[in-house]
Amino acid sequence: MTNINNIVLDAIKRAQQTGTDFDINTVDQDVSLIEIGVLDSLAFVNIVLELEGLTNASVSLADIDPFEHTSLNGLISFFS
Amino acid sequence: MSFLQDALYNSFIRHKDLQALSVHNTKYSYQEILNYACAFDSILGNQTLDRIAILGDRSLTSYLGVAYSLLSGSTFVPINPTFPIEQNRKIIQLSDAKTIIFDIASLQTIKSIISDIETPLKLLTFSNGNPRNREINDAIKEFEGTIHTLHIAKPQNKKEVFQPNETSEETELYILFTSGTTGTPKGVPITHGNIGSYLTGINETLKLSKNDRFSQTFDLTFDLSMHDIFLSWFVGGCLCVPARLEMLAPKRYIEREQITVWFSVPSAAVMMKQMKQLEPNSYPTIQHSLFCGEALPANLASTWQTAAPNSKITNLYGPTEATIAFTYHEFKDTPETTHINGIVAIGKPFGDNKAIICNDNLDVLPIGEEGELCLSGKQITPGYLNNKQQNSECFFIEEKTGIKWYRTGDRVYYDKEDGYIYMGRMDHQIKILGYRVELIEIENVLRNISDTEHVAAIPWPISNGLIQGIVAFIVNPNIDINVIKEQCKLELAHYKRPSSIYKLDAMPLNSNGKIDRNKLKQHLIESK
Repeated sequence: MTNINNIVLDAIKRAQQTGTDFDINTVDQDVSLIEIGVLDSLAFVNIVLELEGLTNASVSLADIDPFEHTSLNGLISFFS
Repeated sequence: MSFLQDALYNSFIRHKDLQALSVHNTKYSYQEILNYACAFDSILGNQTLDRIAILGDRSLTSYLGVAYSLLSGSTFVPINPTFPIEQNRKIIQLSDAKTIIFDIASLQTIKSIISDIETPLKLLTFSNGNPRNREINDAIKEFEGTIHTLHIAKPQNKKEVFQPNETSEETELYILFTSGTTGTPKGVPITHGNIGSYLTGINETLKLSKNDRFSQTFDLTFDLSMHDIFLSWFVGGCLCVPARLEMLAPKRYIEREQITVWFSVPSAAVMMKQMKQLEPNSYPTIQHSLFCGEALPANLASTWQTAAPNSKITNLYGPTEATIAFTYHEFKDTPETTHINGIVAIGKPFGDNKAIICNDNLDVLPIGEEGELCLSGKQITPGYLNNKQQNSECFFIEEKTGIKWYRTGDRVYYDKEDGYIYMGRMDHQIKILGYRVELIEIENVLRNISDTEHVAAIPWPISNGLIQGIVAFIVNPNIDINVIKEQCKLELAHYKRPSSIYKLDAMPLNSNGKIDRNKLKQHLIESK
């Protein structure tokens, strides 16, 4: 697994809503983590801001598309 | 026919080929909505004027439910898939709704809500080929053998157009439930006359047209959503409904739908700023930017102005009981403009609305004095649903004039130029060590020294009913708490300084998108 995958996974684990039974390792990597309740919208915003600081990717947050980038794979591709 | 129903029905006919609704980028014309309303009427036609609960997650079905209620003279009562089940159940019971319109996506939610309701309900959903037959059949099976009946509204003859039923100005259009202090939600009925008066007054100010495309950032359970719905249909514009997910980062939605009228709570703009979605000239299509529901920080309005440079920014103010909004103030981004406590003024009443400021004895105060804002006019609700106590506490008749006034619980003073200046809730003026303290003043200082709009000051701890101090919450990962505390010493008297300051990654927001102060208090209780 590449470095960016680990960074994204760790950020999601930290931000994951308490009380949810989801195991991030078994979640479908292409479904929105918000729609299936792993994250709420605030947690997602936190993750995005955190990843912006942690990764060296030159991304513009203005280009985030909630349909594409709220899944695990979507987040990884955005910050790669 | 009420003025509202007459005006909107005529608008539907006059604009029949124009887009009335865009739901997640699927477009529907005014003609289609009138046609779809017939499908509802074929099932509910003989029981109009009943109350209809609407459960939908920003779906076509929920907006059809609103249009059908308006045209048929029924009263709709929005419930919300994101609310706790028990809250939705209470609203259905308190409103005595016997019919529920819901979208198929909310099937499991509706099942949970009605499982303990022992009076038979008529459940109604809509299909124009989507959802498909298999999903519909699955839904039918869910209710077989229960006391409730499920009906599917399907449009038949495409040329058929709904003929409205008779209504008057007193006909209730919707009932919204706000949180009551005792835990039981308070029902606020709003009549055709209330909304008709609102639309006339607000459009004299905004002057919108059939070319306008309206955002819908609010859920139906928040009365600001009614502004977007009814004003867009009043002028023949298009109501553009984003999916819930899209509200996280609405830039693409605004661009795709070519939004010309933006309306949100200020907290939504704060989140956009965090997501770097308020860069200069991001939204050239927006002509009107409206904010309501919370105090609007002047710095935020200024940032918004650079992001939407062609738009006029209007700060609206009004409680649900006074129908959506009651006063307005146009924001001017000039160095000469001063903003008390860093907050944009709530301005002056529009249309025929009247406002006064009263003291605790309900005497009218002279201009310049601070007190409780009281409102009167055609936009005021007839009164809370089955709640005599609340009605006697919140409404009073002025002896000299016989005018009925609504007490807002908001503290203001009047400035001749800017109109009403919001000074906080009556219950946000607190006493510490005998001193009167304004939470809004503390929040303004925190906002300035921490360079973020998302701050909150909470009275805490409270012992035997006495407030012992203040704690603050700030959303800015880059601040140093000790530096903020030192700054507070320079700018705030000792009894106004927060004893603790918490750094948050994000501010908790309630279902209406406003800062959730109860959740912050809960955070303090848990960390005790």
